Amino acid sequence: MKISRSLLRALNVRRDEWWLVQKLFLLQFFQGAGIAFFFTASFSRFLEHYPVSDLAYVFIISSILLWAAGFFYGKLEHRVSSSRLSVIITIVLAASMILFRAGAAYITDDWFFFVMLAWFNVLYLLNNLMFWGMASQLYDVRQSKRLFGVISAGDIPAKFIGYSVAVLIVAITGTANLLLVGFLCIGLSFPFLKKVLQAEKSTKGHHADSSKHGPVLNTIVKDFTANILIRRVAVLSLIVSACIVLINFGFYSEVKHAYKNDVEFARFIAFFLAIARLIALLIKILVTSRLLYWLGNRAALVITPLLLIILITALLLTNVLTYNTKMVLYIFGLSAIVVDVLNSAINSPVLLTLMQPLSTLERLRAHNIVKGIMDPFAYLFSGLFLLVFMKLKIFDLQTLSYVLLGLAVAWIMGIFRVHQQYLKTLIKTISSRYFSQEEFNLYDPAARELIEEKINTGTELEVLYILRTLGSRSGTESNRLIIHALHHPSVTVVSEALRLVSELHIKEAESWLSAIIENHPADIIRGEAIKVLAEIAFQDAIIVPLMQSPDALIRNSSIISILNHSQVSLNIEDAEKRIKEFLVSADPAEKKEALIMLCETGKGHFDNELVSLLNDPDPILRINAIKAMGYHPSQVCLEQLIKKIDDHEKDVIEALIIAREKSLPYLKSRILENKCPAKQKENLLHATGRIGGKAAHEILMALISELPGFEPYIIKVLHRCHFKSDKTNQPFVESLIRFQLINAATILHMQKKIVTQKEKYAVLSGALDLELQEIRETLLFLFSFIYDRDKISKIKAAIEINKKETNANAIELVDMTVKKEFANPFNAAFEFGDLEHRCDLLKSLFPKDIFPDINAILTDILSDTKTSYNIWTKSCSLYFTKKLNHKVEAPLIHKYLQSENPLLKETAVFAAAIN
Amino acid sequence: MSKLSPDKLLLFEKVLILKSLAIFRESPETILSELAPLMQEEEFEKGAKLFSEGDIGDCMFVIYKGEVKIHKGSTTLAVLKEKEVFGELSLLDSETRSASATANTDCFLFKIDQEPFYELVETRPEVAKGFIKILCQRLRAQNEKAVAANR
Repeated sequence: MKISRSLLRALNVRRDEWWLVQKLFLLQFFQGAGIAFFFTASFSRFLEHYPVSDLAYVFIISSILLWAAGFFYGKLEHRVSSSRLSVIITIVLAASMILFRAGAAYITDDWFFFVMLAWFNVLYLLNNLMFWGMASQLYDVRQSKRLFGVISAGDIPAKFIGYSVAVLIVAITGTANLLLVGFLCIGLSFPFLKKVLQAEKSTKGHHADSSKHGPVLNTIVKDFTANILIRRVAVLSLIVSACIVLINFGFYSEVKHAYKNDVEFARFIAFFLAIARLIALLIKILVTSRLLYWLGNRAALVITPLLLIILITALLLTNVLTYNTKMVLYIFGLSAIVVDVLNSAINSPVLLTLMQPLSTLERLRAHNIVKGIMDPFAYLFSGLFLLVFMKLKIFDLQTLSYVLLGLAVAWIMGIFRVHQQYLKTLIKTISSRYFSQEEFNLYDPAARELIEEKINTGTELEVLYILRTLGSRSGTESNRLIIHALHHPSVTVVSEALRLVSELHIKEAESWLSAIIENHPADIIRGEAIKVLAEIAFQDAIIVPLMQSPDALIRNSSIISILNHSQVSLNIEDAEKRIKEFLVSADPAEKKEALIMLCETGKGHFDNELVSLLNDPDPILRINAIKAMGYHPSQVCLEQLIKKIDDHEKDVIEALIIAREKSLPYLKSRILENKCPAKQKENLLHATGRIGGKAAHEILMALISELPGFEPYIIKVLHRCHFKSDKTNQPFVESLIRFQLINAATILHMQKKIVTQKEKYAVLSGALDLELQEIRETLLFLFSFIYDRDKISKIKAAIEINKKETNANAIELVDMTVKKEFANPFNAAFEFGDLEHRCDLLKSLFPKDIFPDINAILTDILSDTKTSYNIWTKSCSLYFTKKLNHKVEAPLIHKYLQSENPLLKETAVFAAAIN
Repeated sequence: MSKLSPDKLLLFEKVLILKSLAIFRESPETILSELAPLMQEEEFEKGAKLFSEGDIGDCMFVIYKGEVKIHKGSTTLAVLKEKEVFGELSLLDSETRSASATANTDCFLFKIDQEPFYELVETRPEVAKGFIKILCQRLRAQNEKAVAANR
């Protein structure tokens, strides 16, 4: 069946999804119609013989039958394949129609009428389990949000037609023969079931690993207790179902009260249900997916209970102010319509969507719990409630209204709790694929003993691992274990333990450090111990004499320690003098030692000596001097340092990073110099980011405007240095987001133009894909400036996996984290799916048909004015201009002849040869 | 021999050649365009030895035209054809070659030396990232093979 673009747009369905959507719709249509005929027949026959109050017994019988059906469904689910199960369920639906028709001819006992009406709920449950079981496997979380409304809408016209036809033909056929019409409908659903099952085969079957799981009931109970999301959805579902059962009961009582004649009664009910289904159909097809798109899950779910509260309050007021039977009936009718319509149009699809982040198996179990366990509970609760209140003779409209009000409030609370857990589950689903960490608990004496034992006997690597873990926490126990590691025979382990003593400032290690300085066989460890001791508890008496040590390591360590920690100016001057002597020594080894020492202290004044060494003929000394200048960033040193950047780019940049904030003005002015090569600009921007802090952020933000073509790189740098926008710069960040979204839309429109000649322009198309990826990354960086950085990182990681399911989860998280103005176009641009549909969604950002042909695309890329394209994309454009004889203005090619990038320059020369 | 050598290839075309190789299929062209300038064109006559078993490996080869035989003594291990790569791990470390390579026909190859590659990696971390990705993919594929073999 061909379908127009506008209809697809209206339904929010993508072209590649349409085939399956229509099959699911028709499957649900025919099965829904069959069940509607069954309901009409059983309900009218029941009401013909019994009062409405007897419905309470039907509710209780329903609950027992539903549990039994859910139990057998669960058993079967684990024994047969999903496709066979669907066929079995459909056969049960058809067989029920025939058996009850036969029963109606011969059985006149009371139980038959009660069971028949209760059996309707079983058919409804089985159909639901089967249908949503299939749908949840066929679609991911994003698709389900858009499509569940449409595919399940088949049920509504079916019921509309079913109820309407029933009213018309019941006089001719009699109520019992409606069951035969129902049988026919179920039969007609078979071809569509077959087609859907074929599609399901191509996706991973959810029953494939069922054998690995325990008994059904145990698993269900385990899931119910272990999975918070399932538990909360189940409780919410119980509240909703109880509300619906009670409100329908109240409505039917009022109808029965108003219409004494059974025929009038049946017509009213059928008419009411038909109208309700028609409204539900319209809402489901046209509103549901858009409502979710604009409001999000939580707000969409709250609409129904909120309206219910308003209507029940109106009912109570009407009852108090003026008891008018007709008015009460209408308000109850309206409430029943609202709840019924919105429940099937919004609540059911959204609740199913909320379960999509669960694994396939959990999702199915959740669905079984909601439908197979909670629905029966709702019937049992409602049935018992009605029976008890009627027996106690305290049941009236007012009591029912108060109960409904209470349930509506619980309903809203349930929505908030479910939504909160949904968000957590979504994040967990994304992150659990990357992180898994076990930590030990130091408060546990057994664990402490085990660690201590491991420090004594473990291998070097094991002890290093333990130290690393201890280093991430502080506390007496952890410090004690670190000191314990100072006894380890391995130099590497002791060195790491010393580093931790210094980092965590463990004062208790003082006596151990003195002992190490005295006795440790390794000079390197003794040298380190001097510095650490100086850091945690400097004592001139111990450290100063070591300055005279014949051992260079010990001597140097003491000089550095005195400079860094001594409070005695004479000792400091002495240490400074010793370093200066080394710096001007004739022995290059002493100069080098002094430069290395300067890298461990920022104290003292050595400008002249350092500037002089910067021009030393020995390249190693020059590099060491550059590095030392980073630790002594006086104005003189920084000015000299930046002059050396072209000769020693890497070392100078490292030194500038070490100099931190002091080097920022020098970095900025160099970046803005015209003669600074592009690659060096990037390196300097990166260095600015590594310095970080408010001043670096301000410089980088300013450079976004001052350095055209470098926006994506600067944004990446800002992300790396954990930039967060504030009130002042948020509007600027938002303007950058808008700009990048327009870029994404532009590229998608280019792709749309190319897609018809994809083979010919495969390389260009690939280049545009890379552009799109870069824009996506830039946008996520920008989002991280405004929104929760961790969530955005998870979104980024999930998108990069490049799988449909993880992409859908990530896009869903964008939807929930980022404001709609940005989330909607972002999702449209980067969600998997039909290109044309995505372009349609972005049309507000991008005027249509700005690229009438490929020439226009190549011109846009090469003009490089609005958007800055990658070197590769521009090279592709230049290459295809020549290879495929595209007409592009010569100046657009010639401007690249002087490019500093060899690829771009060479391709421009190639292109210019004929243009 | 010169009939094998193509007209002077553009860097752009070298990128396309790299992209057509199985090991770089997933690497973005933006990274390959950094690698392309390191490709040196080399011609070998049939029978010429490219390297011997036990030599220290310090370059990788891409076969543009011709065939290369990988062998241990007189035992042929493989005959590699156009768009195949060998010695790629030598870009990252300097282990000795585990087998010899000889031109099976007249060949036109691209050679990428380790030293300039290291320099590139130092200045362009994204190239290193791209290579790490390739290695991870290979490791995963090997793991999956090992798991499948153990089943």
